[in-house]
Amino acid sequence: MNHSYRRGGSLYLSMVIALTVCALPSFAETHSEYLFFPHIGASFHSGLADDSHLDSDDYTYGLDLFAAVEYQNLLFLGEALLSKEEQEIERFQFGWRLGDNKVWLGRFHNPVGYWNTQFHHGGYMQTSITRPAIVAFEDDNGPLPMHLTGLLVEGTREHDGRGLGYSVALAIGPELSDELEPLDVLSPTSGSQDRALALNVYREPVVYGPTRYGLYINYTEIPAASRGLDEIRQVSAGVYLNWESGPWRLIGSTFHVRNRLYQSNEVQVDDYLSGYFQAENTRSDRWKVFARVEWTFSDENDAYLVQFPDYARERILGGVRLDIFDRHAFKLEISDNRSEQDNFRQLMMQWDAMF
Amino acid sequence: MGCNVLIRVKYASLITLLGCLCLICTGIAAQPSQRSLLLVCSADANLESLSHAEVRKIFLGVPVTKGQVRLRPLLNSTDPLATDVFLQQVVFMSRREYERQLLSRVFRLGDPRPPEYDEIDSLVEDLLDTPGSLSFMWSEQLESHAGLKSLGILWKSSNN
Repeated sequence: MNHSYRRGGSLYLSMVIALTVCALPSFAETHSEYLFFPHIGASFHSGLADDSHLDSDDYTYGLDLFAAVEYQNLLFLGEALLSKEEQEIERFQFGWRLGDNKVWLGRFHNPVGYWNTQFHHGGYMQTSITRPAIVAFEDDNGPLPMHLTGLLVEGTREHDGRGLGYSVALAIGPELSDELEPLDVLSPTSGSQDRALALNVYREPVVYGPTRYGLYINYTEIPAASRGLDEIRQVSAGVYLNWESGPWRLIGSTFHVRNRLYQSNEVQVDDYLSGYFQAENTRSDRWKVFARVEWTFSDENDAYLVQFPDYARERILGGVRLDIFDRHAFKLEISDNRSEQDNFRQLMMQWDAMF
Repeated sequence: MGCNVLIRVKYASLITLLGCLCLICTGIAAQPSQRSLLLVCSADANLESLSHAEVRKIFLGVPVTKGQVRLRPLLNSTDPLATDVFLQQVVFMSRREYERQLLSRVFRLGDPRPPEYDEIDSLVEDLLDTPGSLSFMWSEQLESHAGLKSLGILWKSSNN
């Protein structure tokens, strides 16, 4: 794949999107939102193996651009990430509102669990610096499809003050090359992605309130010719929770992942169970403390996970977040990580903001 | 003698009556005035009452349509007390939680946030000019702005 083309094209497309959405508000009845999420961060590692892929220190910076435009019942939603490591169109969706439901076409975030459809690429929106490894983005050693391209239908029904929500996706998933590669909206015929289906159903004890619990299932066919495999058929399913009360917030999710790896006439089936649980406590208007534990069971010699040597199979972390001024946050995070290759400690610092 | 007594009694009664009136007036003045927070829209709008649940939904950025008109929430921030009362009593969230919920909704679903107004004149102007627009204000604010109507009481202060 021509990455320089992709990067140049992404930048070009970002500019086109920006110009388009800026021009749209001239129409009456058009409502738009633009959000900018800059970040600058540093991370330091200790205990790395001699042949580790990770550097002992790393610095990152970037800007996440978000635009949403609404014209009557027509919707557009776009998100582009411009960072040191990548420039990519992350979400690019056109939608129609049908009552309390929305029908989207385009590239969107896979509705698996809670984290992936809540925080997206806006670091400011999440309390911690890192995402749980099981829902890490594809280009950050994530083992599950986080972006799909196709049809997404979602909505919430209200009953007796409670909410019942759903998301259904009929889409195209990623292929497995150097990493999971979702369909490139700039060059949709360049890959060999296959179909994906996802269903997420959740309950809100108070409709449109923050507390939510639910379950999801996702099926993806992942071509993997460059890994010497014909195809991987992956089914993941799990339950999740986001609970908020007073100063407390708890976020947790489980992931049972079954992979069928097809090679010539042979099929290898492997399962693993993963999950995370994060607790956050708001100490004051400015301070928050948080801690998270992540785990993976039955991962020994897993034929699928071995394709992701940097995936953190276990992690314990703690951190603080200081919100200063208006919509600026400084975060500090310390973690102990175990991947297939490494057992290391990590110190991260990051400034996140939103404009 | 009898006449003097009668005059004294009359004066005493008058003083007592005046005293009582003074006490009543002082009592009324000392009593905190009852305030009502109202849901308001343009007097020309073809809207009647809305339930608290509907108002909450609208101000959380969820699209609601009535009579083929999309209702547009306008967040009144001209009086911090009115805003706090509205968020606590109708939306059931603190200011910080409310902002986070709106941001989350924008980022997830693309639903626009309610525009926020720091000046009452701008708020009233947009209420009058934008079809389907809704806001909230104290009853005395409504009385001083022509062209608006109340769609109902959202909250009333108690006299106790």
